[in-house]
Amino acid sequence: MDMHEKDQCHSLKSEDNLEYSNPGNSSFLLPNNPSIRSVSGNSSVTIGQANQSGPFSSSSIPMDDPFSIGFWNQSTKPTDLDLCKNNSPACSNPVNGNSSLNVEWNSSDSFSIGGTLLQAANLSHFPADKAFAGRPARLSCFTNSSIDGMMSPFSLAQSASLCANATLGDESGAQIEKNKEHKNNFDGVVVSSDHPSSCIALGAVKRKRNTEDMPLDQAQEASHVSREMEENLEFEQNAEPNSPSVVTDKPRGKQVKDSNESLKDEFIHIRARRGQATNSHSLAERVRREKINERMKLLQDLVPGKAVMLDEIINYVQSLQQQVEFLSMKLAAINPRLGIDIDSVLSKYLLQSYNGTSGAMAFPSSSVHPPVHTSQQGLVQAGLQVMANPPDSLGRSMNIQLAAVHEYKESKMQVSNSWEEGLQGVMQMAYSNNVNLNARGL
Amino acid sequence: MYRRSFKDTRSSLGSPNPNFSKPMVALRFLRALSLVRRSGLGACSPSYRARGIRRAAYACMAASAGPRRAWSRALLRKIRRRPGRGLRRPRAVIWRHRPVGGGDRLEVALRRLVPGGGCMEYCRLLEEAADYVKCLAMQVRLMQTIVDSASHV
Repeated sequence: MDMHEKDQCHSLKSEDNLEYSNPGNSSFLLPNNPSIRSVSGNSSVTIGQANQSGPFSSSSIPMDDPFSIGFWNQSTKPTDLDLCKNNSPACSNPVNGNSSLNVEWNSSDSFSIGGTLLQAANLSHFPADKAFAGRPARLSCFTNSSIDGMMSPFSLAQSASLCANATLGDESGAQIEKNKEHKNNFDGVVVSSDHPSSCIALGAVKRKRNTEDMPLDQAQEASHVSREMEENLEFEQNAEPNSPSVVTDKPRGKQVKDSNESLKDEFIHIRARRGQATNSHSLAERVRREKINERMKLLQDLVPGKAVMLDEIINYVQSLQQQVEFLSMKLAAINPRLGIDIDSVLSKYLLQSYNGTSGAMAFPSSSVHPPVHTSQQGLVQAGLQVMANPPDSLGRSMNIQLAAVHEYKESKMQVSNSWEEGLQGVMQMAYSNNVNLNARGL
Repeated sequence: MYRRSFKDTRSSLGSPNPNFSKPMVALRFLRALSLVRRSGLGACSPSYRARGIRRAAYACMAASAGPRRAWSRALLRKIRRRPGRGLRRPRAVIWRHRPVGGGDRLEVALRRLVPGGGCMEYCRLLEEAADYVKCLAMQVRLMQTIVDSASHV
């Protein structure tokens, strides 16, 4: 795969009329595209590995290869060409491009790449960069600049890889290890570039996509990933409220995150924040911070009402736990009065729920199992609520339901394994403890 | 032991998302309730019963959440260990990853609230907290409906 990519890179490179000076980039970029690619892959890998978490550690997508392939494919796409055309004036003015790029980087807040480095790279590869300006390629500008026509897809890929964290990193890392050339140098740069803010926003989406891509061939993955990345980027771009237009005159170093998003336009926005160290550490920190923010958002969505701070979430959890205590006390008080026929009660509310939802009278027992598994959360509640006085018409179905429920319960119990047994044990312990307590109390 | 049982459970139960199988939680909980009732008939004080019911509620919640979750494992571990065990010896598994810097008051509070939150990274902690909140809310709703239906009947 690597060889294949290299060939592609080289071929594309020759095709690209834009010419970037290797020496200019060699300062911080590898003169060889594959190496650069590998470097970027490495950086993405390192970042990904650094931020591996449970769900993401398992899946790994050969991001490196797909990205590189994707770059080449993308470079030949008409969109890129258009961008190139659009960027032609910009190309003529490398300074502007650099500034825009710089701006983008700063705004993305994800790159610690030195602005100077980027500038050097941008200047040399500016026309190529412009081609991908449209994409919110916060990817390291040098990677983009160094690779003609590869920038946007690569950046997209990198952003996707960053979003995917470990998933991408693992595979790309594996591949990169083969091609390692200047891994360490660019780790910081590439990684930082990959970490666009918008990328984080779509991180979940990209992760999913990346995981889906894993079984595909590398070539397919590359194209697929690149396509996905494009889509993601487009989505990002559309979703971005602030960044519809290209940032051309923004001052470097101050960008708002959103401004990077809108890169789609003419310039390649990759750039790290000015003066920020492109350490792998800081990059990893940034990725980690993004992950944390994402999880925080999930948490806040769960909590009803506005939960701006963690404090409210903590209060909510405490209130839930207090409610459990209170309800258990209530249940304990009610229990003696409650009939011991819990099974019938259970079947009743299940029946009610089924009747309430579907209205069908006869439910074959086989059908009970799937519905029970797939029933919504409200099903039980509805059943319980309606349970009070089942109409006579339901009496017949009740028997069926009862039987079905019993069957379901039995089947459930049959399949129980140590986990279930453990639960039973726990429950036994719970009430045995209760008995002990009672005995002690007595 | 837990890992093996978890895998078996998941494969056997066949529930794609144990977290959202509310009927399963309901069944488990009701079964536990009946057990408690049968065993605790002699229990004179409702407070003892309440404690048992509370423990059963948490156990049901943890069981239906699945063994995949760190908080469910820690919760079950805590429940199982409570009765009769004396001092808890710190296990390597538990104290494997001690988070550094408990300076953040909020973070410390969250760690105390979420079961098993003492040795997770912050990232993991947030994730587990989200899942825990989801399950807890579901359990509370279930108990509320049971109480309501029981009081109305």
